[in-house]
Amino acid sequence: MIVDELKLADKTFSSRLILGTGKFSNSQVMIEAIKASGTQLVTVALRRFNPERPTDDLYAPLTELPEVTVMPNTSGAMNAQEAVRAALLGRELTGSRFVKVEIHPNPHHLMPDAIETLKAAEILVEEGFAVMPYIPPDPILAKRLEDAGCASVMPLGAPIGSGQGLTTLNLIKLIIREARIPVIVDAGLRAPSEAAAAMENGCGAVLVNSAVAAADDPVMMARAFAEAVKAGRTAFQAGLMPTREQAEATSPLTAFLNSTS
Amino acid sequence: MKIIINGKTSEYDRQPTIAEVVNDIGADQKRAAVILNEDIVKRTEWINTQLKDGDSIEILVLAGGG
Repeated sequence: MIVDELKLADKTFSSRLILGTGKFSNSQVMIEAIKASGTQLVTVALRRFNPERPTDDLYAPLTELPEVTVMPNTSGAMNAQEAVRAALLGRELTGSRFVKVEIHPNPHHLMPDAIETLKAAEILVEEGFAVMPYIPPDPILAKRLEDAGCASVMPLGAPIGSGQGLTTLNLIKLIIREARIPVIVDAGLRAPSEAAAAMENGCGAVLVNSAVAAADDPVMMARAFAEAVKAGRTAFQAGLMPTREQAEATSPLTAFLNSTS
Repeated sequence: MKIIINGKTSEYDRQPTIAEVVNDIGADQKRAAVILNEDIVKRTEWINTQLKDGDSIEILVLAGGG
């Protein structure tokens, strides 16, 4: 049996679904959704300790999931220097080598700053991090990040939290075509079918947050995404049928049915 | 002396260590990270690092995020 595992830096994962931990109504729902999804990798953010809301701290809930790798993000960073500082803090807090580099200075669209992301990625690879950069679907940028030693590239499907879906598939396909590291669609997805489509086209994994956390039933939706990612990956390995302009019957067109006159 | 803790100014009548300030605001030492005036200070140094008047300290924890 061929073992189909996702390899990121020096770690292997049997799940190709990655989950964000933001926007859940409470940490209990978050934990249940993480368990239902079967994910082995989740993202977290850093924020100031608030003495009035001590339960916002995810440290305790995450210790209930020892088999899940925690990956801090650099959300809030406006430039490479801030992202590097956030990454170092994240490593202090989690002990994790993984970091999701996300630098999005414009709050309207939250699009990633490609230039600052590349700068931050190069510094963090030197510092020994397994860098997972959140990027626009730019194949040139993706190649530069791969050459710089990133563990993956994470092109967006649509703006963060927009639920607009896999709007960038054509460009993501260009990245997949030449990538030798996993290509992980991250951001903007809404429906499990979009995750399946990403996997069918050769993505190594999919990262969702809002699609699960903001669903009516996040735990159920987490399960749906898990199934969709598996279906898409299996389909990719099975090899989809070719497309044709002309119809081709699947049943023999038997003459005995035609009238004889 | 005045110290800025997570953006808010606090009065101290002595020079606290980072460890003391983290304790005072109710954060768990094992679950927090600290920036002092732009520099990250490792947890092992908190007990040895005394704050001065005008210092700015950020005490950070993990939170939900995508």
